[in-house]
Amino acid sequence: MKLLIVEDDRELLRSLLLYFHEYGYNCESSKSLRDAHNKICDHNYDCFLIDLSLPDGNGMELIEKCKRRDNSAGIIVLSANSNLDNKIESLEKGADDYLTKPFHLSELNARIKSVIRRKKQAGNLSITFHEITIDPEAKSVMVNEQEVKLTKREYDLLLYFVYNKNKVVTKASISEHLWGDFMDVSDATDALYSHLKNLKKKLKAAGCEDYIQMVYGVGYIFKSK
Amino acid sequence: MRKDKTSELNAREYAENLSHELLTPLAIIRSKAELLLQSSHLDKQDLQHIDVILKTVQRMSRLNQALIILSKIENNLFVDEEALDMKEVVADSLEKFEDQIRQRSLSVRFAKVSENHSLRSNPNLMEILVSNLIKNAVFHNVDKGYIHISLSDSTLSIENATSGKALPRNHFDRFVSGENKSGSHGLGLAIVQQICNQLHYTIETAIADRQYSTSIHFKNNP
Repeated sequence: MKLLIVEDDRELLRSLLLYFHEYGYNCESSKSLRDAHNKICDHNYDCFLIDLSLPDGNGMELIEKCKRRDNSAGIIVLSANSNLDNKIESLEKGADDYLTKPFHLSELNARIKSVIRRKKQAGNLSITFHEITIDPEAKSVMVNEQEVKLTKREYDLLLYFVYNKNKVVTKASISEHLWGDFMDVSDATDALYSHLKNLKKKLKAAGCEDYIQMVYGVGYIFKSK
Repeated sequence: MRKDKTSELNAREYAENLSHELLTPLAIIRSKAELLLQSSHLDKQDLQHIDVILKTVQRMSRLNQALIILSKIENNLFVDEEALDMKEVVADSLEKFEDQIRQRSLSVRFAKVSENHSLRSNPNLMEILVSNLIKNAVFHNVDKGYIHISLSDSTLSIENATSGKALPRNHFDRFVSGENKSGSHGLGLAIVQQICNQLHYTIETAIADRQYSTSIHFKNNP
């Protein structure tokens, strides 16, 4: 999978390149509108991450160009402007998703995977992790070919873990993923803990190995032992 | 006089620009801390340090977000009005907090006093207003407490159980939070107050007998 990251801040760009390289993406980057225009013309990408405020113009104009070039490529806007109009305009121009800074890397990763699955793979592929199979269209989960009934929150939690497998995800990013950003972390912790406990219980009852490990104080990691 | 107005406007614009300028640096700090967290050589103390960095970024980010909302309200950026069904606005807000309501075993009663609950207002402001009030009612509650909401065509009242800890007298001022929770920025009620000013609603609050009540009156000229 090939990503083009258009972001003019050098340090944020470095973080993104490092993180997504480790997830096995083939990443290229542009720090300006002009360079991004050239790269979009000359190469094919599966997904674009576009910062709107670039030194030589507004990243918004790249959205239509990316779409014309390859309609099946995913486009995610990263913006330092929480303005709702900005978001609406990006989506109207054809962006698939919109994330306001400061985003969590794990949230961005989940969005990229979800966009690529929906667009590149026509939404018809299920996601598998050992004995777990998730069908995002039907929002159903199978463990060893047996359906496990999960609540919406438990399902969202499991999918977030599977998208971010083998990486530490913070409690803050999980609670923001489940409840949005209006909740204080300390207020979300209890609810998160109880959903997690129930999810673990249901997976265990279905004969699933316990892949969720706690990372002292900070968060969790989903991986095989 | 005029000069004062201009400089006030500039100050507001400056404040909003500054808030937006902080978003990328916050994104950098958060991303570096998340990358660091992936290292396999961390001991407990390292993890604690990273946790504090992440929590502090979160705090700054919330604070910044609240300041952006306040300055948008002050700059009249929420102007479009539409007919809103207040029943739905309240129900949507309650849904956002359903996990926390269940967690604390709060009993919620929602009484619709009159037939008509339609109100012309800005949907964003209304959502922020009602969510903030319900959020306060949920989080300043006690375990097995209650939230009683009553809605008429002119008034929204919310009563909730509270631990009885006195609310600071100046709780509508910015940066005054009730209990000293590191996660809360104390701007929730300042936002509520600002929205009410903007929309010419009046707000009344009272605390008595371990009950906190807030009423918003939508119509000031009956």
